[in-house]
This record gives sequence, C-alpha cells and structure tokens, in this order.
Amino acid sequence: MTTSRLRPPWHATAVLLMLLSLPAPAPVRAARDPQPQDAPETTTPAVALDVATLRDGLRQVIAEARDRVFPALVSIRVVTVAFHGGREFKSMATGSGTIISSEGHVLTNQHVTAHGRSFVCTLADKREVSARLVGEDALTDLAVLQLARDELGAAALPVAHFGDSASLAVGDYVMAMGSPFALSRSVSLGIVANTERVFAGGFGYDDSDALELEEGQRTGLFTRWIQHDALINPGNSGGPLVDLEGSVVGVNELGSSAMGFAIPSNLARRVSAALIEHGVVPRSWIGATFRPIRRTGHERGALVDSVVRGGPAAAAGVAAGDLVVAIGDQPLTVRFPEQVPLLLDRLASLEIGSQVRLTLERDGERREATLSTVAMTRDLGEERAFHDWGLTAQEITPKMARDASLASTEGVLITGVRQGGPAQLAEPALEHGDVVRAIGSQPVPDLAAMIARYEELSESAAEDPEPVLVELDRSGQIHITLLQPRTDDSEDPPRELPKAWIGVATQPLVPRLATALGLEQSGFRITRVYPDTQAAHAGLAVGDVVVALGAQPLAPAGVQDSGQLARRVRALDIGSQITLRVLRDGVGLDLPVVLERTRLRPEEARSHKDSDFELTVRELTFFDRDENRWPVSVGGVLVVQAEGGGWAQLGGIRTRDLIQRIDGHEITSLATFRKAMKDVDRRRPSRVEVVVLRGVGSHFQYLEPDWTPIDEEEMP
Amino acid sequence: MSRRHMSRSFLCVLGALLGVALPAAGSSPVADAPAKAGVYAPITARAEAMVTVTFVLRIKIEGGGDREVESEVDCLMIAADGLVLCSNTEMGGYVSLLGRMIGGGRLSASGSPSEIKVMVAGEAEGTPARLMTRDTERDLAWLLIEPPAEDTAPRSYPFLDLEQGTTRLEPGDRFYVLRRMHRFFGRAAVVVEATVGAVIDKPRRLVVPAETLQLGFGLPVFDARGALAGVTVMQTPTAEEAQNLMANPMSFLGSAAKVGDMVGGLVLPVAELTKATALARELIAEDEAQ
Repeated sequence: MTTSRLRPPWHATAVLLMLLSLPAPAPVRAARDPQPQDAPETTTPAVALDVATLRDGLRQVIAEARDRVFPALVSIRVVTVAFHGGREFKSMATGSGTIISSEGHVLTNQHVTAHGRSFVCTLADKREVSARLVGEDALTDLAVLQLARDELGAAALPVAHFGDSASLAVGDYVMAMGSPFALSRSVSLGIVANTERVFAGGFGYDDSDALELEEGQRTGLFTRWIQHDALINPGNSGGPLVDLEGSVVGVNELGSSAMGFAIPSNLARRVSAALIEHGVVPRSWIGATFRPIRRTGHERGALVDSVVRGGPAAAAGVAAGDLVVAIGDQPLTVRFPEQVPLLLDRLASLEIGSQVRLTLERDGERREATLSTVAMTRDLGEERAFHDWGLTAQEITPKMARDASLASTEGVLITGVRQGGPAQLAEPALEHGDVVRAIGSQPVPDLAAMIARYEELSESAAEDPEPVLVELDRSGQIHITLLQPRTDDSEDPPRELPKAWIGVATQPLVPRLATALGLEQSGFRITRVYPDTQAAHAGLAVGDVVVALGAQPLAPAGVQDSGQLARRVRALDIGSQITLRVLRDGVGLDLPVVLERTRLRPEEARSHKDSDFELTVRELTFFDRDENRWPVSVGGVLVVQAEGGGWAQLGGIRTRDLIQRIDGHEITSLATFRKAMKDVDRRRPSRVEVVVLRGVGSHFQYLEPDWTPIDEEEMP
Repeated sequence: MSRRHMSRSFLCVLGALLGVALPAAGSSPVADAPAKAGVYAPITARAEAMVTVTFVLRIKIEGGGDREVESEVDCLMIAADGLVLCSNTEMGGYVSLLGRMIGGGRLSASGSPSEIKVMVAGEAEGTPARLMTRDTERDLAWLLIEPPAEDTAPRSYPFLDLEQGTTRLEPGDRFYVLRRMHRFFGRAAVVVEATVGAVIDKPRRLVVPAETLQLGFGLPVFDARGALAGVTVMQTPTAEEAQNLMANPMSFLGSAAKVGDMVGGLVLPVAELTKATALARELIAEDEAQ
C-alpha cells in the first residue's frame, strides 16, 4: 500500500499490462512553435535559437509551477493495521500528500491512510509533524489529514491550490510530485494521455464492473481518471498532479512507470471540502446500478442493471431492465462507460432525501417513478481484533449484508479466527463468516456493542477470565458455543534436562582426513575451546585430536558419527572427572577434565514481551555470547522480535540487537529490562534512549512512544 | 488441524520429500489366538495409565512471528502424584527438529506447549499441567499435573511403574504397543503387535521393529508378559550432527530410503526411561526449591 496502489486488483493489473504492451508512442515533438512572430527567417541559427528559447522558457515555466506546489508537498508515513488469521498486524506504509489549507489540511489517497493508526508528515523543510485523520472517502480513494498545529510554530504554511481539471486536454504538460519509494520529494514531467479514463468496459472488465482496490470496497464510482505519463512509483500515491500554471489538477492514485492515473481535481476539491466539513462525504443513494446502452440495442437512456431489494428505486417501482430516459425534465442517455461516473455522481450529489422523478421505458411503454433518496452508507465496516478471544470481527454494512446474503446488518461478522486460539478451541469452534448475535445474555447489535462487551468482560475478570457464551448465526442456523478467553502470551520454553558437557566444539576427523594429516587414528579435532569453561582450564586447545574418552576409543567413521564424543559425554555424570586422550602435534597427552552442566541454549532462553513497545527480548545465553564473540563482561537482553509498526521497530530496534541501556538503566538481565521498562511506563517520556550492541558496534536508538490512550487512538 | 494431524503431515511430507515409501502400520498376523487374548487383556488393562494430553503449541521462529496449533497426544502417567511421560516430539519438539532439518541446524525455532491439560482415561475434562523439562535427545518430556487447591485432597492417579519394567527385548520377540484412537472413536485403547527386528546401540540402545510402525511417539511398549519394555520414540540427529549430516540437503535426499528409520517405531528401553526420569525428578525438585 505504499504506492500508487502497490497491489492493484488483477483487473487493474490486466489493464496496465495490456496498455503497457502497446507500442511506445512516438517521441513528442515541441507541438507549438514558441518562435516570436518577428524572428528573422533564417535556417540553422533560427532553429538553435528556438530550442534555446523553448528550453529556457519551459524551464522557467516548470520552475514557477513547481515552486507554487513543491513547498506544500508532504511525504506521509503511516502505521497501519491489517487483519489476518484472527490477528491484527501492524505495518508501515508511505505515501504523498498536498497541504491544501492554511489550517494544515493535507489531501492524499484513502488507500494511503486506510487502517492507519498514526500519521507523520514530512514537510518541505524536512520537519516531521504528526497528523490526525480528518476523514476518508473510499469511494473516491481520497482522504484528508490535518497537521498538528502545536508542532508547526507560528509561520504560515505553504498551501497549494486546485486548478480546473475540466480544462485539461490530451497532450497538456503535467508534473507528478511526490515521494516515490518513500524517498524525499521529487518531480517528474509528462503529458496528459486521456482525460476520461475508466476501467469498466476495458480489457477484462464488463461495462458495469466497479473497480475494487480492497475486496468488497468499490473505488472510483464517480471518477474519470486523468491518465498521464509523468513517472510515478510506489510512494507517489496521494501526491499532486500539477499543470504548468502550478495548480493541482489531480491526485495521483494508480499506475506505475510511464502510466499514471490521477483523480481529477474538481472531484478532489468537492470531496476534500466535504471531508473537512463533515468528516465524511454525504451522498444520496437510490439503490440501483446502471449499464451504458452500447451493445444493448437501445438508442437512448441508461439501462437499469440491477435494483437493490428494499432500496428507494425498488420501492418506487423501478425494475432491472428498465431504461431511464430522463431524470426530472432532463433527458438522459448513457451510451458509453465513460458516461456512467457522471450519472452516478449526479445522483449521489443530490441532497439526501431528495425526491427524484425518473422517466422509464419498460417493454416499449413509458412510465414515471418518483423515489426519495437515502444516505449512501460505507461499503465496508470497521474491523477490530479481539485478542483474548482469538478472533477478528467486522461491523456489517448494508452492502456487506447484501453481498453475503445476510438477513440484516444486525450482529458482527467474524473475519478471522486465530489458529489454536480460544475461538478455535471452543466447541463448536467459531468460524470465519459467522455472525455474532449475542455474548452472554446480551445481544450484540453492532461492533461497538461487541467492543464494549469485550472490554467489560476483560476488566471484570482480568486475572481469571470466565468462559464466554457466544450466540452466532452460521448460514441461518443459530448456534451457541463457549469460549475460554486467554490473556497470557509469555510462556517460556521448557528447559532441557541438564547433562554433562565439555566446553569444546569439534569436527569428526574421519579416517581419510586423519591419514592426510599423517595420523594413524581418527578422532575428534577440537575446533573451538569455549572461554571460561572447564575445558579451557584443562588446557585443551584448538587442533588437539581427541582419540579416547577414558578407556573408550573414539573413532568416527564419517560425519554420521559427528556426535559420538558429545553423546558419550552426555551419558556421564555432571561434575565427574574424565580423562581425554588427545594428540597434540603428534604427541599423545592425557588431560583430565571436569564435566560441566550443559549450558542454556537460545531456544530454552526465557523471554519477555513488552506490549507497549511491541518488543520481545530474551535472556542472553552462553552460545549467543560465543556466536557474537561477546565476552562475559558484555551484558544485555537480545531482541527476538520488534513488531512491524511498533514503537520499538519505528525507533530502529532490530531483531538480534543486544539492548544494553534504556534511558540510563543498565540492562544485564530480563529482570533489569523489566524494571527499566516499568520505569519508562511510569514516566511516559516522549523519547526513550536505547543503546544497543549490533554486532561489534554500539548504536543509539531513539524511540518515540505515543502514550495516547488506546481507546482514543483506535476507536473511530 | 490437530497437532497429531500436523505431526503426521510433517512426517508424510518428510517421507514424500525424501521418497520414502513407508510400509503401512505393521501389526503382524497373529498365529496363536488364545495366547494372544491372554496377552492383550492385561495390556489393555494398563490403558488406564495412558492419558490424553491437550495443549496449544506456540511456535516461535526467531524474527519470523508466532503461530499457535491445537494439539492432542497420548502420554503415560508414571507416578501417582501426576507425573506424566510424553514424547518430546509430540509435545512440540518437532518444531526445533524442523529448524534443524530445514535450516541445517541454523534455524532457530521453538515450540512451547501452553494450556496443557491432562485427561485421565474416561474423563471428559482435563486437569491443568505444566511441562517441567524435556530431553530432546531421548525424545522425552515430563509433565506434572498442577496440585489441587489447598482445600482439596491430593488425588492419586493410576500409573505405570517404570521400576517394574525391567524387561529386555531381543530380536524375534513379540512386543505390543498400546495406543489410543482419535477422539472420534472415543479414544479407544488399541493393542498393536509387532516383532523385534534388531536391538541397536547407536546412537543409543534402541529396539527396532521388524516392520515400520507409524503409530506415534511416547506410546508404551510391553513384552509378551505384559511388562513395560519402553516407549516409542523418534531419534534424529542433534543440532551438531545435523550440521554435519545435512550441510547439503540434496545429498541427504540421496539416502532418503533410510530416513524412515528415524520415525519408524523405535523403542527406547525402560532402563533409559528410569534413568532419565530420575534426573527429571531432580530437576523438578531443584526448580521447586527455587
């Protein structure tokens, strides 16, 4: 989601591939001659003069246009969440945007802000400023953020201005501005290739298909994109398309390489104004879809493709197959797919509750239907993870109910169940697609009710959660089940039964190798003597060949016997003394060694997860030290996981970092880590300094936690 | 997908990957029916010490996120206080094994059982238990049922006494594996009869069945007198050995037909169980003292 749609649906991909496979257009010539009327009629010198003039003039025009928008261009970094397999996953996304008001409103794509938990904008002067979401409109893929005023200072913000996208013509120069691949701001130049691009009716699309950037979410119902060839890449999403006047004429949304698709500014202006005023875009809905009449045999009107049962159109007697030939007194003909967005926009733009008189033709007879529009609702509902129950669930919108053939929007749709989680362990198990109707004895009409119930039950039995009775609708059958909430995520791996151990690493000196070394017998060649072990104290050295353990000879026949020495040692008692017969420089030595207890292995190490920072660390083991050549004096806890989008990961903490200091607290063990984090939680600082050892070098990382209460942050 | 299912799937995939044609589970035809009935009855009676352990396996792959898998395995109660002996492989040890097999000993992955419950034969509800320690090399794990609340009398569980199992199996001897069926079949106890094909000493003393057995691990094995002879285990290279043996996984494929040896129903003799359990008891006492 970091792109002008990183992962467009296959239809869009097909369109792009089809178009990309066409021959490249001929090189663009300077279409208009800028030569002054009174220029002398010379040959070569005149051409040279014209090129220079053209070049300088174009450079100046571009520079002026650039300078009118570039200062208002921002790069946007978003921490997003995705729901999969009954879990919530955080990740990072980036996009571009434009400051469109002196109050700090930033226009961008909805697919940049979608499922965003926090937003940071990088301004033209490189300052990073946090932002809040003002509103999103998935149907047009537009969104508005607002920069945090208290972080901006007193200086006036640079603001870009909308141009008139309707005045654009094919061949006009346009510039795409943004932050491709999350790099700092850049500009590319191209021309308008098409001013009314739609995908319906194109390759792989039916005339009535709607584009979906996210499953179940229609996008671009009202959009005729501006297609252009100014280079855009992932990260350009939401950035402005700018004309040579320095006006924003579009918002880049789709495409890559030399084919970009921008939302026209006239649409963006209206949508952004509505978002700033209402937080949403109020739209009328009539409950019918339309198809252009090309290939239908009809000469006029727009064909009603389908009618939603119970919707305004159905209530007014409109039926699928009708031809709408007039709206009010205005005749209507929608012959081509490019005209459909205009019709839909016209209907959606009516005031909610408007009376609309449609003139219809059915079986050759003309009739009228008057309907009252209702408010258009969102395609997709909010989604939420219920960790302790091991599931994710989503609010049911009317469209979702229609698509899933649900009786109503009552209840909450289960969108995922965590493997091995409480919902899956319930008997019967809850499943994707179930609709939760009640929890305990209380009905669950919507997501807010389910969240409230979840929090209420979690708080009342935090230590010892009670089983939760769930009533659900599964394909029309009403089931009940009992799930046992689970909160603890921090179980440690079991310890290995301790056994005897010698602190050396060895390689089997197989017979051929032994012969090559001039040795008469095979054995185990010591490849490493671990420091501070009994083996080191006993004087064992790298290169020694162990040929016997006590009276038992060691003779590996091949690599399959590589564990022979260690296995024999493990069969002995911890603390006992054995004698190793070794060959050193061809001379036999008997070295007594006390057998130690096996050291803790990394997979047995205890760990701790800090939920606030979404950081899991574990204790440092002997073998970690050895692998990194860290002496015993090096202490710390090892990072096992810094979850994507979490405070630790955003602050630059990486897996396998050794955390040694947190805000002045020396970290030497899990206990000191817990203590330091407890102190951080108590103080809630805006910045936490973490010193890590990464390989052999220390690194200072600065974590910037957002202590805003989760309830305020997550609830829409 | 149950843990049992997953384990089998893993073994099937491993077998298929390596081109091993594992023979069907091998119970041999019985020549002497009356004698067999005389053997089966006392062995079936021992099934009261076979418990069902359910748990959720949390799989952690370093840097690669977590997974959870619901699991159910057969284990053996070996003391009246609720000490349960299981196969480490069945208790999630296969995760680090996969790390060793796939990663040539370099992939750090671990499986931690949680929500462990022990269901005594005939009971529908399990009792919470803890995994106290494991012996990866022997393929053993020890669980201890959580003590009851203070106001409840301690419970005495039916168990199999390892000390009574002093039998040695020799090549040609008949032996009997006790297992429980899937819960769909009411977890019925089943006796599977087999013949000792060999007794080997590398990498340790193990009884090898004449025909490959695919019954699972941690299952009790009895001799013809009904005495405990050992448990079925999986024996695989240690991390160190894996690094040497599987430096080139493709060369490992060259000996694919032999890989079935590791999973084909090896029996760890009861003497090994006794020795390892004594060490486990010491460790448990050590942990409790802390």
